Amino acid sequence: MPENRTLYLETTATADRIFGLPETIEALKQICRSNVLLSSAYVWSEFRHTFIRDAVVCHTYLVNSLEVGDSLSVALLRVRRAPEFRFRPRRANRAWDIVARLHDIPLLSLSDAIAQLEKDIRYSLCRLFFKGLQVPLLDTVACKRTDENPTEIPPSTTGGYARFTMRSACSKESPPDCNIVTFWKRNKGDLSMVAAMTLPTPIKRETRVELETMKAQAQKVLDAIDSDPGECHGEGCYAVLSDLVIALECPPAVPIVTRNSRHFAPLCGALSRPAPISYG
Amino acid sequence: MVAGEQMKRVYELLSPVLDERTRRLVPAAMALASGHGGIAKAARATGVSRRAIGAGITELKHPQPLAGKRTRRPGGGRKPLTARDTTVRGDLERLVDRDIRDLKAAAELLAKNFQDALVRINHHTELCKASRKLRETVEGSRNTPLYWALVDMDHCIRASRPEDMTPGMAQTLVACVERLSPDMSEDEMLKITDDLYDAGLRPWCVRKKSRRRARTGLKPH
Repeated sequence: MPENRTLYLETTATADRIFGLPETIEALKQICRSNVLLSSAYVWSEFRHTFIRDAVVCHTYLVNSLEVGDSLSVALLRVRRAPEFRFRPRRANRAWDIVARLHDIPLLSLSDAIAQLEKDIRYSLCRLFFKGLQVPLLDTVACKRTDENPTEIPPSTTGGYARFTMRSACSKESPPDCNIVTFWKRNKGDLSMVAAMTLPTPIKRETRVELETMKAQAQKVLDAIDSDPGECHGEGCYAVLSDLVIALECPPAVPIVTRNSRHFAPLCGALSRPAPISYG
Repeated sequence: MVAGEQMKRVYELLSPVLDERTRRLVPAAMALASGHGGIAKAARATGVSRRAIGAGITELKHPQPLAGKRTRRPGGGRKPLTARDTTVRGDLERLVDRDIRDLKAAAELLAKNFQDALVRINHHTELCKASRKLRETVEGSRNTPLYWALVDMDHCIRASRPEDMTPGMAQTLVACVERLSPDMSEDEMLKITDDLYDAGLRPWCVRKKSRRRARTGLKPH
């Protein structure tokens, strides 16, 4: 890997730098070594609203379990069966990834696990995300979800544990005051290229479905951008088109470092950007 | 005149929102409103002691405004333990210092005798014990940088397997333990966390399933 290049870290890469397997972390270190690392506020908001938010939910369940006197194993089972993760297998897996690592530490008690999660939510995750990244982050969308911190509720009794809440409010019904409409208008040409992109072959069925949905949503935003700007918020932005937003926020000549190359490779191809760098 | 039952009902309704001071003032006001024998009646109805009601009546007759959201006068309430027992702070600090010294000695032993795998496992166990002991000593003072530094360090030590440790990790542990002190700042605590991560120490274990995947060469999901 040549040195002194500029690389753009996507959400999966920023997360794998922290939660990844040792060999993944090492592979990422090799890729990032001596290079300038960029990321965007949109990636930071995605990171917060996935990993930090899941850590908050897990922390709440563990504190509840501690109050009723559960053991760590029972508490982790409760996290697994939490209604927040029901019917959301990816989110459940992610949350399980966060807490399961705590389970394997010898002699770890439930209160230790809570203390670790509390430290992660308060300090570590934020600090580790920004480690080595160029600040300020790129911010063309001005995503409002970036500003939402986990709110700490102090313990009501001495020696009790603090709790955290974190909510994200971003929908078509109550659109936030961000620049997504201007962003799409500025990148109308790219949006139409993505709407008309040809999918590579062979391709996995799931990936095809996801990319087809992305194409359809891009076309929908393109059609509605002038008449119904509300379409640009909500699902269109943070759920289906989030990869596109990240790809467009990346400076043109900079390659994206991602684990999710099955989405970014066709996207970068359609947008005539450098091929993404994959690892792991 | 306020009847006893009414007093009881009023006090029950108000009790969820009363604080230490108003818990005294409300029965005092009821006692004053009841006239002769009011203190005894209010004490029976509310369960507040006659002494507290008497103090409340004095406060009502000679009101003294309190600054801000205070419920007690300046200097009121129990004195802190450090004021009652002047040696307690010093004793605790000595205890923490001793445990930090033990942890440092254990980390240095591990770093020095790194080549022999069996000896390393022994020293790693000692290090785990020392770190656990220090963590338990400072458990009472959560929300201090020392405690938060130890949360990561203790878990990093216990999550690391002696066979996977490198000399660099052991040296980093020694350097981090040397920086532990009861009056360390939040910045120092964060730097310790950074150094532990940079050295490859993680406060988590790699999931067993992922390990298996890593061994079999399958991609982690």
